[in-house]
Parts: sequence; C-alpha cells; structure tokens
Amino acid sequence: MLLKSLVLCFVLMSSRAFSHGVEGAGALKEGLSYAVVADFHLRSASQGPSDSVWSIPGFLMGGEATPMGKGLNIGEGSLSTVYKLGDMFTTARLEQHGNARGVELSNLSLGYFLTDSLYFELGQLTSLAATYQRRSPFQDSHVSIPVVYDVFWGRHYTDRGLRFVWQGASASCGVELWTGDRFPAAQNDEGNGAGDIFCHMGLTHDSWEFLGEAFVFVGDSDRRQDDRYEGGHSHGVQTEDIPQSFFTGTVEVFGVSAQPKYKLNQNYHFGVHAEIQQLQMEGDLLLDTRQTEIESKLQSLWVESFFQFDQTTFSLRYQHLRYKNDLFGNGAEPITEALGIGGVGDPIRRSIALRHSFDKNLQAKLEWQDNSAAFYREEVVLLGISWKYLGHIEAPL
Amino acid sequence: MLIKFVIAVIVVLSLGLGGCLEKSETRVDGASTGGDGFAWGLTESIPFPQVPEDNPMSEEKFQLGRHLFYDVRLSGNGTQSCASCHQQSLAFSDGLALAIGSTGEVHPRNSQPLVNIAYNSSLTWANSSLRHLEQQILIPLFGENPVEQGLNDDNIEEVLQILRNDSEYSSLFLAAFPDAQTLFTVEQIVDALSIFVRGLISFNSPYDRFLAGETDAISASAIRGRDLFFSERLECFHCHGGYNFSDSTFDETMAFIEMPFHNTGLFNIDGKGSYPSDNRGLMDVTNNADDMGRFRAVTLRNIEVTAPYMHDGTMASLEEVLEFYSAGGRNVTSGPNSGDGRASPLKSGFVTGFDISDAEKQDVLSFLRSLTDNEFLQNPRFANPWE
Ligand code: HEC
Ligand code: HEC
Repeated sequence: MLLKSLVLCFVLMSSRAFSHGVEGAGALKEGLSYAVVADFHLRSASQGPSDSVWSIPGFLMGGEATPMGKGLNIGEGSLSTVYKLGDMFTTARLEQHGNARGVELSNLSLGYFLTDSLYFELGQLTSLAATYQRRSPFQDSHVSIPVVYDVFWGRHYTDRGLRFVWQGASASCGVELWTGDRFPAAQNDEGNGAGDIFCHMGLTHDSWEFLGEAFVFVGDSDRRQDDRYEGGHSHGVQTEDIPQSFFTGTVEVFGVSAQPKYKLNQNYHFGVHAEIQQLQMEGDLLLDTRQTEIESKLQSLWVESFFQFDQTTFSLRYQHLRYKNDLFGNGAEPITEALGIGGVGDPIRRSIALRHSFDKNLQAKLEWQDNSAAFYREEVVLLGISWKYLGHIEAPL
Repeated sequence: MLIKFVIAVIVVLSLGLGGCLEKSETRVDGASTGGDGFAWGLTESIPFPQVPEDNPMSEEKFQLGRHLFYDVRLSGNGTQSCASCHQQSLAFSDGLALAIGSTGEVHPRNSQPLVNIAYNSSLTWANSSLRHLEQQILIPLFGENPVEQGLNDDNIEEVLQILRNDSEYSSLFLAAFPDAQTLFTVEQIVDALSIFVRGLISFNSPYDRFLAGETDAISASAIRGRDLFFSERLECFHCHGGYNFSDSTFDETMAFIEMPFHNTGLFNIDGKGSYPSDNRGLMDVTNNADDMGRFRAVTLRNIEVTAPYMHDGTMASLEEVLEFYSAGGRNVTSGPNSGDGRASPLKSGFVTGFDISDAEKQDVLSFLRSLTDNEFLQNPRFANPWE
C-alpha cells in the first residue's frame, strides 16, 4: 500500500510541466488575507432517523460526521484568516460546522518558510492529505459532502500537529505529524499519535488540466469513542441511548485521486474525478462489559464526470463504499448487533448536480440523490446556496 | 508528457481497485461454547451464560441436583430442603417476608427467586465476593448464621449415609460422576445442586414472545407500561435493564464483569442514610461506609409471583413498590427504623421520584405482569422428582 503511493508520487514528481496553482501556503501574499464563507442548503429529507444515531451500516463512524436534517441546514459558516509577514505566517479559522451549536476556533497555526519552497506549520491544523478534507462549497460540484469523508475521516481530519511542506512549481508534497487526538485516531492515555505523507500535483498542458494526489495516513487509537453526539451536538438523540463503544488499535488510510479536465474552448470544459480510498483497521472493540477483536477493510470509490458551460456545471457522481469486517471472540455477536456493523450491503449513491455561479462569490446548486438502502433515505433533493468574500489588507497592519 | 502521467495515475488507480473487495460482509466468529450442548432452552436472542470450567453442565448432574434440591433428607433434622424456601410455583421464592430455617431461626432476608441466576454477576441480595453458585450453596447447607438446612460436621456423615442407602441416588451419583473415585461427597452434592439451579431458565414470558414478533402477546396497556418502564421519567431500566432486567448481568459474550449495587432509599435511620444494623447491604461485606444500603438490582422476570418484595420483604405488593419509587424513597414513620429514606444522602441518583397517574400505574403493572413465564412456573423439568 505504502509502496503503491510512493510509486505514484515518484512518477508524478519526476515530471516537469506547467504549474496549476497548487493550493497551499506557497501562494500567500504579504499582509492579511481573509475569507468569509456562508453556505446553506435545504434538504427534502433528513440524513438519518431523527431519534437515533446516524450511522451507515457496516461502518464505525465518529468525528464530526453529524447528519443533516430535513429543511434548512448550515453547511458552513466560516471566517479564515492568514497573516503573512516575511517568512512567518499565521492562520486562524473560526467556523460553524454543520448544525452544531456554537462557533469554534477550528484552526490556529504558526508557520515559517525555511526556503522559498519549503515551510513548516504547527498548531491546530486540518490535514492536507486529501484535498477534500478542507472541502469548500466552492470547490465541490455537489451540495452534499462526499460520503467517504464522513465515514473515513469524520468529515475532516483536524488535529494538533506539525507539518513540513515542499512546494514545487507543479507539485507539493508534505509530511504531517499529529497528536492523534481525532477520529479515526484517538490519543487518550496510550495513543501513539498519527501521521501522514501526501503529494499533490497540478498540471496544465495545451487544453488539458490535471490534478492528482496520493496520500497515506497512519493513526493509533486508544479507546476511541464516537463522540459526534456529545457536548450539545445531541440533535435530539437521547445520549444514554447511544451505544458507547471504544476502539483501541491502528488505522491506516491510503488514497489516490486523479482529476483530468479538457477545455474545448473558453466556455466548454469536460472533466472527470476519480478517487479511491482504503481504510484498514485492526484492534479491539469494547462495548460495556463486552470485547471483541476487529479487523476491517473499508474501500471507497468515487467517480464523477462533469460538463461545464460558462458559469453552469452539470455533474454525475457515483460513490460506492465497501466493507469487510471480521470480528472474533466472546463479544463479537452482540457488539456487531449493537453497533450496526453487520451491514445491509454496499452503500451506493448516485447523484446528479447542477451548479450555477452568479459571480465568483455567489453560487447556487441543485442536487438529486439516489441512495441504496444503507443510507436510510432512498431519494433526496438538495438545494444549496453559497456566498464567499475574499479580502486582503496590505502588510504591515 | 501529460498523457504519461494520466496513464500512470490510471495504472495506480486500477492497482488500487485490483485489491477491491468482493462484496461487503461482516463475519462474526463469536467463539460460543454453544452452551456445552446442555439443554438450556434459550431462544436465539439470549446468549449462553458463563459456566465455571471445573463444573461443566451435564444433564446427569442436573437430574441429580434436582433430586437433592427437593430432598428434605438433606438437612440436619430432616425437615427442610432448598425447595422449602424456593418453590417453583412462586418462581422459586417462598411467599414469606423473611426466610425461616430448619430450626426455626429467622433469616434477616427474603428468600430470593431463583430465576436465571446463571446470569447473575454476583449472588444473593448484596455480596460482591459471591460469584459462583458452588460457593454460595454451601451457605444454606452449612450456614450457622442463621441456620438454614442445618448441616454441620457432626451430622453430615449421618445425612450422607441416609442418601447412600437410597438406591435411586446410587445410580444418580454414578451417572453424574462416572469417573469419580468416591461418590456421595459434599463437593458432588454442591456441584449437582449448582447445575440444577443454574439450569432454571426463564425467557418465555408474553413479553419475550412480543419481542419475538408476536404483536398481540401483551396488552396495549402493557406496551404503554413498557414505554414508561424504559423512560427517563421512571428510570427503572437504568438498574433493571437488559434481557434479564438487571444491570448485574454476566454472560458468555462478556469479557468484564460489572457488579453494580444501589441504595434505593428504603431507610434513613440517622439522617445519614443508615440501614438497620442487621441488614446494611454491601457494607456488611466490604465494611465500606459508602456501601451502606446498597443492594443488587434483581431481575424482574416473574416478579408478579414473588411477593413480598425487597431484601427484607417489607413490601407486600407491586403497587406498593411502585408507590415507593414514585415517592423517591420510603419514609418510615415509626419504630426503631424510622427516618425518611427519600432524603437519604446515600440514595441513587436514579431514584428521585416521579408523578404517575393511576392509569399509568396500571400500565406499568401490566408490563411487569407480562414478564411472568408460566411455562417456567409449571415446567415438569424443574418440578419435584419425588412426587
Ligand atoms: C431457609 C430458607 C432457604 C433455604 C432452605 C435455602 N435458601 Fe436459598 N436463599 C434464601 C435466602 C434468604 C436467600 C437470600 C440470601 C441473602 O441475600 O443473603 C437465598 C438466596 C439463594 C440464592 C441466590 C440467588 C440470587 O439471585 O443471587 C441461591 C442460588 C439459592 N438461594 C439457592 C439455594 C439452594 C440451592 C438451596 C438448597 C441447598 C437453598 N437456596 C436453600 C433462603 C433459603
Ligand atoms: C437505582 C437503581 C434502581 C432503579 C432506578 C429501580 N430499581 Fe428496582 N430495585 C433496585 C434494587 C437495588 C432493588 C433491591 C432493593 C432492596 O431490596 O433493598 C430493587 C428492587 C425492585 C423490586 C423488588 C424485587 C424483589 O424481588 O423483591 C421491584 C419490583 C423493582 N425494583 C421494580 C422497579 C421499578 C418498577 C422501577 C422503576 C419505577 C425500579 N425498580 C427502579 C434498583 C433499582
């Protein structure tokens, strides 16, 4: 697994092509840059039954993957800032995520450029491993969050840590080291932290554009809990009714994605997004007085094709999850049942979305989903609106 | 150039897919003992209990134990058997407030029903050190404080000789312990009795049938009562939850044992939560002041037929029990034990009292009655073999 992605990184990096604005600190301007995002959407049906814990059968969920309800939902409300002065920079991000009550300081970091193309950053960070960890509604053709990020990453991996990032003209690679305090890892007393390595590349060539990425994440869990419904996030679910399980063991995730795009002319673009992620976990699962060994292999496939004409994008997305769970020992049966990891077949989602950008700061989206039984609701319609504002104040303040 | 990368990526993507899983599945290897092949009579949804390795289940030991359980000859004065205090029609309780031993001594406690005791994390009303029936059964047989069946060093040989003289026992002991050097040992008697009482299983009440899908097995009132029982208003399920209606349950699927004990506010003699000195619950065993008045939340299966209630048998009916929980404890207004249990500082946070209408009370009672397993109360397999 590690080998595969290293091979990919190597192939990608040995290229010399034209830059395509790879995201990262490298593109920072001196002074204070800030972005405000407000994103709302309407759903025709809730994501799960309102009186019980939302989970996709077959998978152990956690992190911040809370369900969206019927009616109006807050997708994202955020204020992100980056202040750069010379080689130093600092970032902060305040956000209201999903329908959670209250705003939290989700990111706060301090960074330093060691050379023009190499920097480190430490603090509370969101992983750069897979781009969609830091999904912005403006980056996504759909209203809904890609399933795999909810299931594998608890929506996104945000933790205290340190990263070193090298940024070349058309690629960037990095190493991130984490305290391992977030799903799918868990620190507690014995957790040994987490870490990842990643490479992204962006190329343009004639009428072609290409984005690619690969990453490997390894995390250690000590008594990991599903704490999605804690601290005022109960969403009407009786917290006593939540079966509290603890996972202790290791989690590995690897992923590769490719997004080629062809520009017919200024106004017409075609593109594809293909992404595979695989999560492997091994350890012990505890529920009340019961215990079982668990080995899971989870896979996700996301393929999407889109067609963009002027300011409107039409996309077709196919998402498919698979699991193979093996549980051994006394508690295997009751734990499987209580946590719903017996499953009901592959979760598959087919969706169609239409996005229209009124200008670079305002967009609307309409999405229709057809879900397999594992998603609880078969058909859902979503209507979203997102607004952003980017500002900049010259340094020094 | 770009084409090269795209190909490279596609190759890697398909490598990833190459390891693609066939289809989603969860495989469970429960490592169950299968109940050692013993006729437990459990339904699908109930796990097997854990059985001590040195006394595995067998039908022969069960049958020997059954004969001993119902045999008054197994007492110092030939008047009392286990069944004297544990009668099948009363779910193996005795209908008395306090048990009375073979010599007339009064036990400070109420005879417990013997219902699914194979699943109890600990045995008797409050004793965290009594884990196994093989230890516990010595108490009614040989206990002196109080005397129950009244066996002791002086009379045991005589009693064993009486049993040896019964030819039926010779074959029962031989069948139960075919490899033993000597038969008719106290250890064998205790093992066989343990197996018999461990086999007293009751999971076939109307409520169980309701859970299994027989929607008209219990009344509409009982269904409403169930919802009340499992509500945050009444809180019953916190202590009487799970398939055995007790939070002190241990079975084959469990790796860790939990032995919770609770003070329900029955007494508050000195304003500090004290219980009568002969019955202080877990504290009598641990000598820890925090354990004052803490008892095991017993199973509520067959509770309809096991009156009077509580460790001291002081509540005559289920109505009275419900009144007590609704009041959030018991106010004893006269006598040496007077004091307001509702104000006990040691009382569990789950016993805080609640308002309940008469109709709702009837619903809860209907639900509790739906836990009566008539098959268990009449099962010939558990009945007196001497009759
Ligand atoms: C004198 C009446 C009496 C006799 C005879 C008697 N018991 Fe009991 N039994 C009780 C009482 C009282 C308790 C509760 C003891 C306590 O809490 O200290 C009890 C408790 C038990 C328990 C614990 C139940 C539980 O839920 O933890 C078992 C098992 C038991 N008896 C089995 C037996 C067996 C087997 C015999 C025959 C060897 C027997 N008893 C004879 C009165 C009696
Ligand atoms: C804090 C835990 C707790 C809660 C909550 C609780 N019980 Fe109990 N229950 C116990 C304990 C402990 C005993 C034994 C107390 C004793 O004898 O001192 C008991 C005894 C009983 C008994 C008598 C059992 C017998 O064999 O004598 C009944 C009936 C009962 N509870 C029903 C209920 C109902 C109905 C509710 C809800 C209204 C309830 N309990 C709530 C812990 C609890």
